[in-house]
Amino acid sequence: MNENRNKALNERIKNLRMIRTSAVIRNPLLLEAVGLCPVVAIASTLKSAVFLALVTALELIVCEVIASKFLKNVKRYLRVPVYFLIGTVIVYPIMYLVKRFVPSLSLEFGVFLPLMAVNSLLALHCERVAVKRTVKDSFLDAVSVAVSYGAVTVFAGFFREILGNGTLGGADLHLPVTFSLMLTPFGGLLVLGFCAALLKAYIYKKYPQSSPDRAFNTSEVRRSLHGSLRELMNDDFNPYDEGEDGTASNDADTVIRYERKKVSKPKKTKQEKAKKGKFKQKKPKTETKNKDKNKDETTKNEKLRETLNKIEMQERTYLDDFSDMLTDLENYKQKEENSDEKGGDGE
Amino acid sequence: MKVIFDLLAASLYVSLVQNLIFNGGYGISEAVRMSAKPRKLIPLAVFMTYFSVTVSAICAALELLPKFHAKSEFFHIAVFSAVVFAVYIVTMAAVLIYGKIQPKTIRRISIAAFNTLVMAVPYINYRSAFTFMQSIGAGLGAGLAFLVAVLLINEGLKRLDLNTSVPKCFKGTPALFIYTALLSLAFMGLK
Amino acid sequence: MENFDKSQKPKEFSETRKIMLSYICVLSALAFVSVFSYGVRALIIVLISVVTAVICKKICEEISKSDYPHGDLSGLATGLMTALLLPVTVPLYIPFFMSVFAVVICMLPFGTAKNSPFVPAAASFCFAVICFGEKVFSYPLVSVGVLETEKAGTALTSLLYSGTSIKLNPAVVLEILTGQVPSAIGTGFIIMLLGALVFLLIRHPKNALPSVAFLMSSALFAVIFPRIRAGVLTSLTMEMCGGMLLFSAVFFMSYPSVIPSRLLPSVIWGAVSGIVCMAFRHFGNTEESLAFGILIMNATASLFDELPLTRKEKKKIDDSIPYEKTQEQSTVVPEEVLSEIPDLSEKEIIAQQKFENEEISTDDLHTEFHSENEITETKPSFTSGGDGNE
Repeated sequence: MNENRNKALNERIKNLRMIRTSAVIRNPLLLEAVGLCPVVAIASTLKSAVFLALVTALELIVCEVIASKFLKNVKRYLRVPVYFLIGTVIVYPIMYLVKRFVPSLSLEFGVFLPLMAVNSLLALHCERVAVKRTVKDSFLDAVSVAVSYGAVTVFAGFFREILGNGTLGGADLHLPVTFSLMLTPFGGLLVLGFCAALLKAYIYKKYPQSSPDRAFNTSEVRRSLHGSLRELMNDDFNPYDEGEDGTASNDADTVIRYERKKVSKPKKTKQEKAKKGKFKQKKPKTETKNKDKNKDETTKNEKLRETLNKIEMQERTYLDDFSDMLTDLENYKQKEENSDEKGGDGE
Repeated sequence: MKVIFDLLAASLYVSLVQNLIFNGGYGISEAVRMSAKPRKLIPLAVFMTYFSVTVSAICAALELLPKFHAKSEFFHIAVFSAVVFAVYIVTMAAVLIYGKIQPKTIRRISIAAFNTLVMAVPYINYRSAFTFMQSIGAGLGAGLAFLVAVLLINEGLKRLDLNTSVPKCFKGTPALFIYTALLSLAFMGLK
Repeated sequence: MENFDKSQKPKEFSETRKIMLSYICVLSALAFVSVFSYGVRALIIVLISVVTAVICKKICEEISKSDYPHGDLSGLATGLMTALLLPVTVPLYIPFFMSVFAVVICMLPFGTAKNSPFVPAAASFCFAVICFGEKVFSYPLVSVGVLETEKAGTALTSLLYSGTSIKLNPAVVLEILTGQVPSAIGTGFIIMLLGALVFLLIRHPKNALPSVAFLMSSALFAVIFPRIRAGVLTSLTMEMCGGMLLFSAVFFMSYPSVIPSRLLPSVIWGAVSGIVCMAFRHFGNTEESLAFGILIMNATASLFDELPLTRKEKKKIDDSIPYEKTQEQSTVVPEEVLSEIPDLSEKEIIAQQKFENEEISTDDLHTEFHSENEITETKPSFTSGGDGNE
């Protein structure tokens, strides 16, 4: 009975952690820069922002549930067009109804109404979470992301309408000054920038151990631009920073891990060979030439020998420390994997 | 000569004067994310240009049919989406069959096909009543606009990466969004 | 910069402060002359802009809790620049909002003035043009030193935008040079601006050279592609003296945070900026779209730093690297050390020969020599719980 209670508790903790990570620490709009286009271009009024939030929420939930249920065994390159099809099936009827019954909203949205079917947020979360987790987890992830995306969108729409039009929900607020620039993509990006700064400040205060900087990976920023087609074809390309081997990844860090390869024949290291004295003692050619050198040179050589010995000793200790570190890392990784299997990890 | 002029004028208009990314907001998500991965930019921009040109050409060719031209806007939009889907399937099939390319590369092509920038080009061509050559020029311009946008944002990101005095809360996406906003402001001078 | 000692101010801080001080000297002189020409209203506009900018800067420094030393005078300089770009008849809320925009949006997110990627005053002018439109371009008539605010004057940029030329004679040229034509508060005094350019050339030559290149390329553009059909000289005079071209050349093209770090690329950048800004003037949607061109060129400044190094720069870099003489004693290797070095295996000998013949790289040589340990770099694998200690 205790085991069942622990299981339920662990499950609850895991779900809460997932919600917190998806919605706050890895906020898709503010920290990962995904799904920007509709918010920047369309969400310039409160009405349009609410509409956008609702449509995106519906798309996300339906897409993730379907992907989790049916698309796990489908090839990756067929999944993305399926997400597009699902988005189209959801958005186009809504578009038809809006055109028929709310033409003012349809005019406001313009070209962006059908473009909501290709929101990059869908592909990201379906690939990252839905196809790798259960339906329940995918649903929770979809809901948490939809809520966070919707909240930011509505806030952006609210702010932009007040500053840009001097209205709120169509009602005139009689403001003395308005800034029409806020209705353009400039205004959208500006509001998102300051919202992201506020969110980061909140995360640093509330969750000081988490690092929101890792949501947007800038490790490759300073690389050269000259990529070739072949590189694109053959190199690993992770536009959405998904996990390589199917593990759900919310961590955009590229952590390079060093592992010892399993060697079939145990080979002796140079240090071991040196200790056993199995090497031939070479007579240095320079020494034979310098037999007749004076005392100054011999003292110089002695000093050099001492420093070389010190360096070698240091190298040996570094190697020993490094091998200890490697074994520690391996043990830690083993522990992590064991704890994951028990269901103790939240992500 | 007029044909080439139309093509160049349309592509310059879409890429510089009415930059689709900075002035319209199309594909801004892909541009911002790709600015952090510059090594993959040029091949991705090539793929996006291919898709936008192909889709524009096919949609513009369909527009030349009187029966198609007379249909409602909703019908046009549905057909444009179907064209994008079909072009992607054909491209993917060709690459799988003829190219010595790993299957996992196909998802990279999917990024280039299914994004708001490529999807927006045929709609814009339809609404602006572009001719056939102008539509192809707009497709080319969309790819060029993406390339210009990502290059500019990448330069900004490099500067921000090296800048140690950025306040802690603004590091990463906040400062990047504001930088992109100011770039967007700069492109409004020609609007 | 986290453990930065405020008492030890970095070199870049003092350099920024020095150039800002030069700007303030020149801008204050321009402001004084504008108050003399345009009256008390000009003073009010300048004061609103400056006080707002300084207070916003102070608040932003407190909010960001930056370790970087305060007091680089960038707020004061930005406030002055912002005010001098506006006409005297502008509503008083516009310089206020422009200053807030310049500091809060162009300076706060990027840290210090030395690191802001765009010239704050130029960005704030663009903001004002888009938001307030005609109010930023309505200039009063100035006749013989008397300001007639009720009569609207036509600026040179407006004439150029509509394709109208003026009849150039010595009296008109004198009026243009002494700021007797309708213009913004600080952009009409051509003689003073030229003097400011000379002042900057003497005090900060590295910053002022792009300005000179900017002016030369703009002049060339105005001669080759005139907007009016009244002769080369008229076109050149109207383009160079009209609007904010000279003002931008002096203050925006020399702004420390936006120019490329190397000298030759900065001059090339200045020249290209002139062409781009003139193109914006020709094809822009307002009578003065030059500031938008300035922002575009600010964004591309770092691209010019990637131009190949000149011979002189290469030599300078080579000379700066300390040369270490190889000692003869390096050939004398102690016997004890030598005795512990094992013989190279056949594989290793072949690898070394290949490396000497440049058939393989150092990485390949390294893997050959260290193949016994077989420590390999695995592909990145993401942790499933990647938030710190979670």
